[in-house]
Amino acid sequence: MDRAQAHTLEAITASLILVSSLVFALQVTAVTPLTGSTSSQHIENQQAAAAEGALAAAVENGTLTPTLLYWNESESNWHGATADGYVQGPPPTAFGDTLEEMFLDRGIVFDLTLYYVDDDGDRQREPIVDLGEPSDHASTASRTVTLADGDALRQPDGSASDTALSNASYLVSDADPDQTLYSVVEVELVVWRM
Amino acid sequence: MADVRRPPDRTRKRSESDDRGQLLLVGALALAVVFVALALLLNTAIYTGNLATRDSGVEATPAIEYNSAARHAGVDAIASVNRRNNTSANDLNRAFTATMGRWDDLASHHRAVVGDAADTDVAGITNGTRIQQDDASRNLTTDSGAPNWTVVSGVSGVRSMRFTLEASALTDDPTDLVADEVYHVTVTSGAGARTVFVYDTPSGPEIRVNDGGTETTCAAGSVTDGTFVVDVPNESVGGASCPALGPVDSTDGSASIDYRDAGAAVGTYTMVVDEPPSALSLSGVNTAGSGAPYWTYAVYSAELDVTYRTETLDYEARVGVVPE
Repeated sequence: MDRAQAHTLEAITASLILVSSLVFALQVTAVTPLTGSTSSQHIENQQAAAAEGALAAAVENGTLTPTLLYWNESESNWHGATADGYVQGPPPTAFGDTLEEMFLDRGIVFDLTLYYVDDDGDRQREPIVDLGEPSDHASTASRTVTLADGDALRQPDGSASDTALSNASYLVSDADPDQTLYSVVEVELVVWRM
Repeated sequence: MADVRRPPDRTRKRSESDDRGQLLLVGALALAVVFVALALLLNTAIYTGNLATRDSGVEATPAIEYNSAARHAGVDAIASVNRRNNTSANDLNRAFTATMGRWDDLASHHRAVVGDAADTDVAGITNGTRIQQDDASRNLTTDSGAPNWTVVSGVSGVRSMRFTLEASALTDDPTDLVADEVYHVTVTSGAGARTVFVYDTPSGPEIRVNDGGTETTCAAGSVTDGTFVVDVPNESVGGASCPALGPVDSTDGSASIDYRDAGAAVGTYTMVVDEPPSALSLSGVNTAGSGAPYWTYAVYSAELDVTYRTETLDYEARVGVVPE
C-alpha cells in the first residue's frame, strides 16, 4: 500500500519535472550582461534621451550648424583638431560647451561624428569628437542638418568668417550648385558611461 | 518506471531499507522539481524587468524630425528659386522640384543607412507674384508717381510683407493721421480692413495699427543708418516686438492692398501674393529695372508629400510650406 503511494508520488513528480522543464525551455530568456541589472537599461534609456535632447536643443537654438562649420580651410580639418577629430574633449563652440556640461562633467563620454554624401554618392564619415570606442551600453542619437550656400565658416574664436560655404574648400562639396541648398549631412552623437 | 524493489524473498528488515531507498528517490525528484520551478520564477522576474525597461510604443521621433526638416528645406528652396529663377513660372516650378529632389536624395540616403525609408515629393506649387521696390531713395508712389494707389487686388493671400523705411522722410509728429497725410498701407479682405500708419516723432519713428477701429501704437526699436524695418510676418518694428501687426497679413477671401499718401515715405518694400501676374492688373508696378516698383514671378507656397517608413511605423503627411 505504502509502496503504491510512493510509486504514484514518483510518477507525479517525474511528470512535473518533465512539464516544467519544457515550459522553461520554451520561455527561457537569454541572460545577457544587460538583463543582470535592469538599472543599466534605465541608464541607457536616459542617456539616449539626453543625447536626443542635446541635438534637438542645438538644432532649435542654432548652435549645431556653427559647430559643423568650425572648419580650418588651410589645414582641411576642424580648428585645432587632430586627424581623428577632437580627442581630448569637445570643440570650443557653443554646442561643444553644451556637450561638455551635459555629458563630460557627469562622467559620460561621447563621440560626435559627421556623415556626408560625397560626389560619388557614397556616404562618408568624419569624426568631430572622438573620445574612444563606444562600449556595448552606448546610446546613439542622430540629426539631419541641411547646409546652405550662404552659411559662413567659423573662425577659431567661433565668430563667422567672410567665407561662405559656396566659396570655401569644405569637407562636403556643393550638392546643388544651382540653388542655395549646399548639402544634407547627418550628425551622430554616441554617448556611454565609462 | 523500473521496479526498485528487491525480490520478495528477502527478510522484513531488508524490505524496510528498500522503502527508504524509494523515499530517497522520491525526495530527490521533489528537490529537482523545486529547482526547476525556482529557475522558472527567476527567469520570469528577469524577463519582466527587461520588458519593463524597454521603450514603450512606437518610436516616432525620426518621422517627426524628418517632417520638420523637409518643411525647412521647402522654405529654403522657395526662397532660393524665387531669387534665382524668377524669369517665368515654369522655370520656378522646375527649379523648385529639382532642388527638393536633390534634398530628398541626400536626406533619404542618410535615413536608409539606419533602415528607414524616407521620401519627399512635391505635391503642388502655388504660383504667385512678388511686388517690390529696390530703390531706397525713392518714395512709395506708383512708377508714375501717384501717391494714392492700389498695389494689388483680387488676391487671397499675402506673405513676406516687409518695408525698410527712412525715418527722416516720414511725416513729423502728426496730430491727425489722415489729415496730416501720414503714409499708410491698408489690407482689406473679408476679415476686415487693417491699416498701418508710419510716422516720425521726436523720440523716434512709430507705427499705428488700426484693426477695424482698434488702434495700437508701436515705437521702432532701433534706427540703423537712418532706416528701420517694418516686418509684418515677424511682428516687429525696428527689431522691437509689435504683436498688433499679427493680423495685418491674415486675410480672408479676396484681399486688396492700398497705399495712401505714399509720397510721405521713402524706402524699399517687398511682398508676395498668391496669384500669378497674369491674373492681376498690376497697373502701378509694371516698370522693372528702374528701381521703381516692379513685379516678378514667385512661388507663393508649396505642398510636400512626406513619407517615412520604419519597421514599426508607416507615416505619411502632406505638408504645406509657406515661407514667412
